[in-house]
Amino acid sequence: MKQDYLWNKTGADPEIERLENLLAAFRYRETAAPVVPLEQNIVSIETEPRSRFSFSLPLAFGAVAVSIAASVVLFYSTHPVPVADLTMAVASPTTGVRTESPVLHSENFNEIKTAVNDDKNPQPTTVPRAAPAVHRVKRNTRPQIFTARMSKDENPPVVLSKEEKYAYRQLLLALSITNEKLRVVGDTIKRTHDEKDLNRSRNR
Amino acid sequence: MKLSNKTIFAGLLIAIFLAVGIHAQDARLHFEKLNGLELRARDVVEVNVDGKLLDLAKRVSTKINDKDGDAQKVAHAISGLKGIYVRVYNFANENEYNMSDVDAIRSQLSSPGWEKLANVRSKKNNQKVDVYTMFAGDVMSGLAVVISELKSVALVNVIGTIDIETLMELSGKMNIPKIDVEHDSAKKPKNDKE
Repeated sequence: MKQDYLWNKTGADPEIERLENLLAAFRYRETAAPVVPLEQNIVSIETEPRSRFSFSLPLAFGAVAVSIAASVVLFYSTHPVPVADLTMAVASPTTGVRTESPVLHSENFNEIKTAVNDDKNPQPTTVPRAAPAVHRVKRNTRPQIFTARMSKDENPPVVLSKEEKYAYRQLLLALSITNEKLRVVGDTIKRTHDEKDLNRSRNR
Repeated sequence: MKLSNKTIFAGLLIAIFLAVGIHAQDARLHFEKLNGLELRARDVVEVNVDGKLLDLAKRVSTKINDKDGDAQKVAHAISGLKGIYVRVYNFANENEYNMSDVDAIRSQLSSPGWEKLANVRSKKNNQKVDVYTMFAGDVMSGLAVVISELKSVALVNVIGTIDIETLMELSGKMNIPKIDVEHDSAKKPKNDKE
């Protein structure tokens, strides 16, 4: 390819000439600039400086926050939150050793107030809350304060995971068996002493 | 070979640590010899609570708030506990197990460190009861209870400090489950540590 022909069209370059002929339809043709009719009113618009501060966004956020707070206060003032007394279910071992449920011996056992968070029997856990709210009834009256009813039980329920429940049950099981065997030891010692005393009294 | 002072000192330190470590592990009984009993028993109860499982259980006992404070008493009673291991074997007939297996456990209690607390032999059910304790200074570091009868063998091994009086006082409370083994069971149910 000869660069002179491409630069200032001197000389001859058949390849370039062939391309020019092929693309002749798209060749640039210089024409006069279009004339804009005078009937069209062109008004120059002066752009106003944009205000640096806008009240719209903070107002929106504030409105949303106030509405959420009002709805929460209204909800808890009209729906007192109860706290259910739940006993921790002690599941019996899965391998045939039967353990008596503490529910059956409720008169002997103290109930441990825990919330059972079991996947099989999901139970809602609730927490007692006191939500004082100020509610204006009339302009000229004193504000009335509504408080959510507290549960009688002041001990909040404890939520235990499966692992925690298993660990605690295993510990209680081990302690129970230890207690039982220590009682056997005590009873055996006592029985042995009684037998010895009996034998002595007979020999006399 | 002439040893430097540093080497001798390091060797003494290692020996001391080993001795302390061995002594600390002495309270743990080895129940491997009881595998034969497991095969012949009608019912087996095996409970191992130590390490992270015990730590978790301790945390739970401190979290639970009951009216009478029994959970807190349990938490206080087991605060020094490092491990508790229980084995209970019940047999359908008399003399179904090998007494030498149980005596192998008792022989571990004759090692130094263990002190005999109670040794009772009763003709009723051919009952043999052994209670041993181990002390580290003035603090109890281990407890072992071995009870063998005609139809049952029970072993309890406690490592660490445990307030037995408080636990005996709380017996029957705190939802501690009663173990009632069914006598008519045809299977051999087993309560493994898992």
